Amino acid sequence: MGLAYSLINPKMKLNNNWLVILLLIVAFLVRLFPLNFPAFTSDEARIAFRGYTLIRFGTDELGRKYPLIFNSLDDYQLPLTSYITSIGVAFFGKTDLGVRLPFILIGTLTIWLVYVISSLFFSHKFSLLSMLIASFSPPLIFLSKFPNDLIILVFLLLILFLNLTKKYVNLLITSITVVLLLSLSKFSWFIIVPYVAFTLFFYQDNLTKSKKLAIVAFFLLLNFLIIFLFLRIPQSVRSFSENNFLLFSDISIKNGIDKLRGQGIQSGWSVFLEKILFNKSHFLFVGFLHWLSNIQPAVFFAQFDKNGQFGFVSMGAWSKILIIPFLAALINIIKKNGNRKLKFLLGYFIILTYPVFFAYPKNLSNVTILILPFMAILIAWGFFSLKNWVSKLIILLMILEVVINLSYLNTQIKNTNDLRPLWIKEIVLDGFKASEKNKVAFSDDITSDIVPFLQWYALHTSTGSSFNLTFPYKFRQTQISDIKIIGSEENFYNCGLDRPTYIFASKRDLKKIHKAEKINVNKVYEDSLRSEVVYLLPPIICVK
Amino acid sequence: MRKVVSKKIILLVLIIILGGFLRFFKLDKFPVQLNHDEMSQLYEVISIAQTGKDVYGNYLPVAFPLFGVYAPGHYIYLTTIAYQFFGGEEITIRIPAALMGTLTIFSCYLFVLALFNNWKLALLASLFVALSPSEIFFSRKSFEYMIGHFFIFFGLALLLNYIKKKRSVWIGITGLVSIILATYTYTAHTATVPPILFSFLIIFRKELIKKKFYIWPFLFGIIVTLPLIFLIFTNSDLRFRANTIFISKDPQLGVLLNNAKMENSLLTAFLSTKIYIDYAFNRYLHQFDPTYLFGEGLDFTNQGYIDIGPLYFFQIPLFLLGMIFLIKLSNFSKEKKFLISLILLSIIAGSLTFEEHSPHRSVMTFTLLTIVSSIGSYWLFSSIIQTKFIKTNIRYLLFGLITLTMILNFIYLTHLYTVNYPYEKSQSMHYPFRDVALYAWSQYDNFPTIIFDPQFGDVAPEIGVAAHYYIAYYGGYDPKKFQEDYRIGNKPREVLFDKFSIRQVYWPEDKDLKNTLVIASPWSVPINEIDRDLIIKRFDFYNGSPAFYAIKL
Repeated sequence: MGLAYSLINPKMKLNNNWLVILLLIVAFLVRLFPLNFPAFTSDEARIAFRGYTLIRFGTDELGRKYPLIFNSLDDYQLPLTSYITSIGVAFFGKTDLGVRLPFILIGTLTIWLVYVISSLFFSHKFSLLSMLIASFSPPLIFLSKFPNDLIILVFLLLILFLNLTKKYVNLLITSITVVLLLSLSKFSWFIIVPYVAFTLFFYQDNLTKSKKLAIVAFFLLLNFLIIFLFLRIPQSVRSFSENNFLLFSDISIKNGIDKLRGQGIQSGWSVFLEKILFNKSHFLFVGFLHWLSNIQPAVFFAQFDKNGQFGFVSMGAWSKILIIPFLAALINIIKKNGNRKLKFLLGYFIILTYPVFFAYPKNLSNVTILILPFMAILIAWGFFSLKNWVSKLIILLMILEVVINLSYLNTQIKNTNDLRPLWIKEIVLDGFKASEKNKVAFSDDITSDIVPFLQWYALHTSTGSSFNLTFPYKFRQTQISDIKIIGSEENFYNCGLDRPTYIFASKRDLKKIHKAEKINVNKVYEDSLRSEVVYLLPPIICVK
Repeated sequence: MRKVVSKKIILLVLIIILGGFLRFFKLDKFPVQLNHDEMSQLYEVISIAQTGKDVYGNYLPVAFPLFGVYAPGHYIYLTTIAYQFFGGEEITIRIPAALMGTLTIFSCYLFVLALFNNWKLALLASLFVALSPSEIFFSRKSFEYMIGHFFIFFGLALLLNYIKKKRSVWIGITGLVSIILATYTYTAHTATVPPILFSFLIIFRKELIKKKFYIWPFLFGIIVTLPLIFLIFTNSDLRFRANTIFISKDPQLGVLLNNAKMENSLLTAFLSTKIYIDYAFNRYLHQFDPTYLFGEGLDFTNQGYIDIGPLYFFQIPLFLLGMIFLIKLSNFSKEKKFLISLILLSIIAGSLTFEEHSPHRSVMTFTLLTIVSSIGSYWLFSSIIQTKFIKTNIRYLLFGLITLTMILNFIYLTHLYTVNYPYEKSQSMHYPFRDVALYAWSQYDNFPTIIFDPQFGDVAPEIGVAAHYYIAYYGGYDPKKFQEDYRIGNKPREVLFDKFSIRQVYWPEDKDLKNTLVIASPWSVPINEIDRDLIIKRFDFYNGSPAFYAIKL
């Protein structure tokens, strides 16, 4: 631990501190530039706008006063991320910098925490190496660049680790950290208690067993209390079932069991044997395989996220070449080389990812980000077994791969054309400008949810005060002041004497309109792939 | 000593008999019908055996065009031997693969024995291979991969034997020839054998130099490979085959490459190369997806993870134990390095294709992983036996539980393979094509023209490209006559022979035909609009849903 705080120890060699600071600056700059990359998804834009409304008007995007449960397209959102976003907006306004900076800072501090934790195991040199490795992890870079709960979760988990492994555990700070974690995401409700228990029992040497158990019991109670409070919210059970326990609500497993069993009975196999072969135990097998699939080597070293939401489409959580030191570390563990406590880090692979088991068929490889800091330490350990020149070559290739990917972001922008629509900004700004004097309508299939983009890029007022929603769950707005969102069920007609509308139509609606009336298009908007996506129509057509 | 030898041999023979039983039992019944690969190969066997030419009139071709896929010909030529014994029966085409699959059990025994010099472990490994889902599955279809598969393990066993013991140089040479022979049998082997041999040369270089088995065998290897290199460069059909399955044909990769296009062509070339590397590496690592290996890789069902992989589910912990044991093992450092390098290299062929997973190109990897899991089980069993604090009763209980788990897994495989696989995947076996062909011949005298549109599908349509083979085979059509009659027609996808026209049915036009039997699926004809009296027969998939209708015009 002594080394952990060497940064603030004036007696420590200046060189060492300078290297840490230098690496932190590198990590910060890699996260800062380019500032507007990656473009927001609709949910990220929603949080960004919410951060603005919270600090400016004291309401969320739906007009509710300082709520604790927020809306998103997937699930309820817990409060911490939104309020952290609002802090950035408080300082830098409704800008990319304002919204992204808190996460950039948290991401950078996470790298520093990796150094501090590494210092518990290694010399300064290898701690620096852990730090360097973590600095260049694509998901850790990506998640430091937009509003999201995962990077805060990583950060707080590391803080918690440090608190729990101190000689004297400060219960107040630890409790605050746990409360923050519990108010961050539902995912943390599953992992906090095992995480605390594991850390205390494997890394805390100064507390007695009974004290450790008392701490675990205390956090268990706290966890239950939060879950109990959450369960009082309408649709909370649905929220759990649709997002956290999909395994049990997914009908395909039960249908599969019944179908295969039925085929056996039809073919003359005994019912008894059928029940032995095809039964509810398949839920366990399916969950287990799903979990394994989400933490397979390819996720870490080849493709972390094929949609490109949390990393480069063509990269894993780490540079490919780091598979070598990682395997070397695993061999070290098996051969019982090195520090015993280093080996226990593998335990976090299970503790921090096991909820994926229950999430089948939802792909949750993004939660593996939680183990990346620990993995960085293990990878650094793997370098112990490698020759010096091999290590240097690996580090060089690691940096090179990330730098190449960061240098040609255009490819990534195209790969995430639908998920992170950079091109939407021009469309919503034009639409918003037109709405100052006219009625405006947008097709709802231009992107997954266009409203948050309109709010984030164009709106400077609070919206939705008329919504009387206490706990909005997967709520979609279809109207913002004079702007209407056109659903697939809606029809069009020639306005005649009615007030005309400027329609930003998708291909779907353009086809529908053309069926009713042939009109020319005023302007065509293209996406990042240079495909036509939106057609601005002259104000002749109205929406029924 | 003699007792041990005889015990060892008896056990090995029993295991091979068991493996043979699992590969040959009801070989004509499961899979329930010859699929289009098997069907085309079988008719080509008959054609070659009777006329020396394939059905398209090519004299002893190196690669058979079949239905446009240009398959290497060795399997067909090999089956002509089985043809001499069993005639043109359906089972004939499956016999070589089943036989080689059975012999692979023996070659794996030799391989493990040569590697670790432990006959108990070798027996356990051969038992695991005998019961392996991937080995059983791929041995029971006419799969040309299995020939080279046997030769590789056999050759490696001989090579290892030669360098580790005082053996005649001919053992080494036979081993080398055996491995190189494998490269002639399947594209996947052509891709994997050279790196495997290279790793053998590197890892065992000291032993090879000591035996002076380095330079001239290497040259010999090149000489034996020369014909293959010559064939690859001169035979465009073989090259076509390799090109069509290469990773570059993956549409997803195409999208990524397209997105990387820049104005600067040099930069585009650089980024494209990088994307190729990224993509191939990703594909490579994905071959080790546990879900694929232990859950659903054999794709017997349409029920997601409720399926079976090339390895049993119970092998997950055994495989991990095996890897741990290998790493911990203080001796056999070269042998374990070689085994791990084999796993890493043998998966290359499967990972460089246009498909996300190509289990049929990765059988060798599955077998090696099976061997590793047998090492894990050997370690586990030894630990249970040697751990003193485990009471005898508990020991029996543990063995009982492990055995029960294995038996249950095996019954599960049997169930999925014999019951669910036909129900769920009969389309992939082109299930009602045999019935269609037999029915078409039964109506031969009633119609001057019989049209068959092989577009079919339970959920989505596909074209059964080997339809002409089914009709020719099940009609007992003379291959010589077929070679003369076969011609390409003017209509879409049309091939003609005798009074059969196999082509796309275009109902607005074809409904006006007279004196014609049309056999087509609901994907080609609006079956609900057709007069019920005209529909004279329905052909179902194995699960009972309609596949084709015979319509009398």
